[in-house]
Amino acid sequence: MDSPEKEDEKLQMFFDGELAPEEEAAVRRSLEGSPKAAAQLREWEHLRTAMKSVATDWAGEIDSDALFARIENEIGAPVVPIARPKLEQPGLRVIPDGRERRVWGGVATGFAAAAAIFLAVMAWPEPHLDPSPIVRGSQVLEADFGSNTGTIFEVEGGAGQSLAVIWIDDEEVGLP
Amino acid sequence: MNQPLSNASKSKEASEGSSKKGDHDLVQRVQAGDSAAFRTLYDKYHRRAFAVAMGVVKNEDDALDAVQNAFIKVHKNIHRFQGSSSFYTWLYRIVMNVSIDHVRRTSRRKTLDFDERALHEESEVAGDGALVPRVTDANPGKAALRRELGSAIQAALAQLPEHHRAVIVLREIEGMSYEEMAEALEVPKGTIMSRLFHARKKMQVELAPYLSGEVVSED
Repeated sequence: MDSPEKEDEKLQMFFDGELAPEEEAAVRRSLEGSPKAAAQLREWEHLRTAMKSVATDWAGEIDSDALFARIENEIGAPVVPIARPKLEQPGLRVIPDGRERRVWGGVATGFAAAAAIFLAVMAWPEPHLDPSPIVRGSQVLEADFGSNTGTIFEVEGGAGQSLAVIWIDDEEVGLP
Repeated sequence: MNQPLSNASKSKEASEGSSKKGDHDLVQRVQAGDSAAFRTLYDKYHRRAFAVAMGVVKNEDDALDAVQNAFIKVHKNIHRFQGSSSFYTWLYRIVMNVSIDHVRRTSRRKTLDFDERALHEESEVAGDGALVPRVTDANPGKAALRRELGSAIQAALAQLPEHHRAVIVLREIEGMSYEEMAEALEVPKGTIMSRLFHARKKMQVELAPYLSGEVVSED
């Protein structure tokens, strides 16, 4: 005896004409003693009839020529190239009066470098006030170059200390 | 009844064999640029494709759009069709995919507010712009019943998950075999059987008042 799921599956296959002849004959025999299965088959048949009759009504309503004209129109329509938005190259900016900007940029960079050296020297502890041993070397945690490039130098100060010097180039990245 | 459809489906298979060959010839002609052959394929299948689409989408206009798009895709991709499967399973795969896509798109943009939707529903009940095309029947009572049945079937189909809907529509409306459905929907035969069983079960529940055998008649 098959499981209920297997029975359902077989019954459905029988209904859909998907069983081999010998299996089909076996199901037909079993139906004689199973009013429940026979009722199930009747309901499926009613469902099929209902769906078919409704589908016939649906299909009868089409204006075939009008629909084909729509299809032909789409098929025959010239292929219009899709207008793509002009993409700007990332990172490239056109700056008017670039040369003038570059001069002022150089001046500003000079001031920035001088200020950095001044601050580094001023912040350095006086050797006679601080009895702790001098720690050589310097550590730069972060440098923001903005749109410029730059270099971090380590230079030796007057008392043999190490100083960090940040040099910012005056040319902005990406400019010719 | 208790008569399986195997005999019917066997004779159907025989006639479909020659039909498949005919389709194959037509496809080859379309591939060679014969537009009359394309029209012949369209004439042969567009009504059935429309009925299938109607079972998946919600109204006639959407079904027409689905059929239109499906045939445009067929025309565009026919050079890729190698003939390893039958033309109609290929066509129904396209119709199904287009229809299911349509349902997904429209369900994503449910922008109608409640009042507007209620208005639509009222007009459907009244028969204006009805979802189901009007049935011209000499017997007005029977026509009304069939229209009501059509609405009930569409409502019941709408309750099904889209893949269950696809299977029951292809089986009951198109009469496709498990093998053909598996090919058209690109899923194993076992999945087809399981989906079909559950779809039928749900449809039986939804359409219980109509499945007594009195409302439905095939005349």
